[in-house]
Amino acid sequence: MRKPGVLPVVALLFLLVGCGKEQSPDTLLLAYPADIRGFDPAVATDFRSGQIISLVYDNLVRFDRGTELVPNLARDWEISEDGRMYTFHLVTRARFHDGTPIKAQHAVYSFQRILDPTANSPQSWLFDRIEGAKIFMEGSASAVTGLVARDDSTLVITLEQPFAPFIQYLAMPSAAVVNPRQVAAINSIPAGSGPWRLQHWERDGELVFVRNREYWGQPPRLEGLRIRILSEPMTRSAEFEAGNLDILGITNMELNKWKSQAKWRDRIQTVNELSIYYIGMNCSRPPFNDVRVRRAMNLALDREKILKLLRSGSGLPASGPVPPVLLKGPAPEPYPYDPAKARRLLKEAGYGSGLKSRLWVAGDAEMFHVLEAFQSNWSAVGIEVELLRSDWNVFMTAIREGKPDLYYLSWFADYPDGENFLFPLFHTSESMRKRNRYSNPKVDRLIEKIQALSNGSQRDSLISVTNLIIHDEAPWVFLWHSQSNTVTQPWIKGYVPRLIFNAQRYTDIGKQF
Amino acid sequence: MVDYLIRRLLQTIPVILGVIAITFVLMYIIPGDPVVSMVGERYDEATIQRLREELHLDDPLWVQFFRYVGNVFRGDLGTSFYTRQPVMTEILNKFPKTLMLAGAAMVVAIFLGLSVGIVSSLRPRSLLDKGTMFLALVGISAPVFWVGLMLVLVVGVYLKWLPPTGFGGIEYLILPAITLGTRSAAYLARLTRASMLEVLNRNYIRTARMKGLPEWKVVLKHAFPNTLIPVITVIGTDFGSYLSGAVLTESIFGWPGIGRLALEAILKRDFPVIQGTVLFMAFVFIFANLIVDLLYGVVDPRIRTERRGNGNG
Repeated sequence: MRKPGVLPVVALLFLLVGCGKEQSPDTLLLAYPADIRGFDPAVATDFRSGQIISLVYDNLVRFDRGTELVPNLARDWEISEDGRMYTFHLVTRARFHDGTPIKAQHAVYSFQRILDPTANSPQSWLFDRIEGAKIFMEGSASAVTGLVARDDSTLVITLEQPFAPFIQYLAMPSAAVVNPRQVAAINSIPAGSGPWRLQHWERDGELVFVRNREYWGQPPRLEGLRIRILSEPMTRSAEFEAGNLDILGITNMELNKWKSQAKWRDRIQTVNELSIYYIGMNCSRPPFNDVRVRRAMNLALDREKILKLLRSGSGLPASGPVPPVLLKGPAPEPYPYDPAKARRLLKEAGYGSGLKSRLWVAGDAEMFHVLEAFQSNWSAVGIEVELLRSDWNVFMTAIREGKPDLYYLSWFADYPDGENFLFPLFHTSESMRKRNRYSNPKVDRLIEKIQALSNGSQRDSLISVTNLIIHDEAPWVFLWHSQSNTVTQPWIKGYVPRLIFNAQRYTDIGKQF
Repeated sequence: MVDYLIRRLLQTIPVILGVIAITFVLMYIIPGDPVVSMVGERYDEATIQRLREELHLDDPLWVQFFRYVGNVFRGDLGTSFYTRQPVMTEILNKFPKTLMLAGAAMVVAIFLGLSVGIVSSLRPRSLLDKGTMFLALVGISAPVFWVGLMLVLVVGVYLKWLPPTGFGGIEYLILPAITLGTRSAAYLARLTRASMLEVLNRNYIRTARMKGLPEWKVVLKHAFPNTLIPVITVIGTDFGSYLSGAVLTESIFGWPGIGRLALEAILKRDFPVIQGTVLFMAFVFIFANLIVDLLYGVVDPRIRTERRGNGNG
């Protein structure tokens, strides 16, 4: 009698313990590359924690599909003529997950909690412009005078000075309204009211949510949401191909592979992200304190070619810091690839025989071949750049201390406003302490005006003007505004990628097999 | 035996202190500020300073060191800078998963390694012997991440026999266990074969065969137990290293174990978690070596007698 082969036995064993498909018709299956820090909005400084917090909490307002703000816990609001006082009228049917009705006092508690000096929240910048906030943060007052619950459903916030982006701050993860009765374990158990409830969290393993059946707003279409933590991009791709993930974020390295497959090509959705990739140049010392050298750095790069060949064409060449979708006035053209002009500018600046510098870089391997292409472009005009690789922490500490002459970094919008690409990056108070030591009093004044003006054509025009000045002054090598690409399974219906990182709540996604 | 055990346990104290000292010094001499990972990009200097004070990062190094040592002996490994959870809780949460994976990998390694090694040694220089030893060589040489990704793609994606990655029931354990256990299996196979070949030529084996014992009895009862000392050494040290976390395997398969905890902590400069996991790994290694030493005595009575002699003398 012939003995059975080993392979069928192994196959049978595998089939006995389970098959590879874990598809569930009522659960949305996703994967994130890293786990979150926790569910406490007060410490949600990272992108991923912010995304997850927006699933289980509500804010007064929130971001929708594009750049617009929509009501959330606040059904409507008024802003006073002088731009300092915000009056919010809250919905009365909203409940926390434990059934407690949400009142204006809860919003006061939540915002004050962030400002509380004993909480050491790194997000206090969101609320420190509220009247009385600074005294409260110093511990000299027991409450913030500008935060008042007029009644259970009316919240009044008064700012020290008019500050237009404030309303957008209120849509950020750290401005979520928390349930004071559940804050004891808030880092591991959400104290919110959002459309999803946490069912299970296996740190570095998975986050499992179920639909909040009592949700006062639009509840999710699906029963459950399972987010697995898979750090390897290849593993995530393999799981998607096996049908175990419903939506996959595609890395630039893999974009061409997915586009080349007819099965997936039409299922890829691309979004122009609110981002800027750049090389910061230390403007406080030679050689980059000379605008001619900075312009030469920009002119020497063949952005379009590098973008097309090394980043699968995923991005738009940048002319300045503000992404085109946030610019309502004229935008400059990106610096052209003009090595001859770059050489001329270098000669005028006294670097005719060339110069040497170091480019600090941190992060994943995806960008190293891109940076090597930059090296080659710069070398062609006499700028020899050495790459200095370090881990994220060392890198960020060095930038804070003003050590790097050059560094490669990106910035993604916290909220969809040109101001978010100007103040934190170019205002003297920020740039001189944390970034590339750029300081221009004219730019500072413009940014301060933009912050004080309410939305309108004058503000739009000032954003464009400031963007143009920064383009001309070239404190950065402006690279590109990135695009994100996602691919979905054929059974996924209603998925629309969002512009802002915490706008996606997965409530309108369904499955149809 | 008890004397020996106590002596060995006492010997671990300077080792543990040494591990704490080295990790501590390394953490503080490398550049970078751990608070940077905690505050995001829109921090203000006052928050940074308050956090540094809260975490006692401005205290002199020796004050921090002795405070840490004191806490360790009270069973407190500190609180994660990043998650603000007690480090001990995080480690104890991850350890069962790592133990499960390490145990399964060891089963794969022992079953495959010993059986292939024994079978090869019975037909030296045959086609079977050459084939299995070639495969063993491939097993030793193949990088773990390559083996893991191949299993994910072939078994998980194309054949769909098992879930490619994840954590849960036994079906999730098979591929990472094979990935992790392959190298040990290959090494054990070669080691077992070499030891068996040596033992099978000994006089007592010839005597056993001449007595007319069946070949399986000769191999399993008389030859195999005498090859176990080197095999146990390898199993013990490999098991110790698996228990202290298999970073690559855990990353590929999304397995939430100690290895990933340590890796994430290193990337985020989460000092208390780095120190806690390193300390824990040291404990595990020392413990695994102790078990190996004790097993020597079980396998070889001569060692037991020798220890008793030393203990009395």
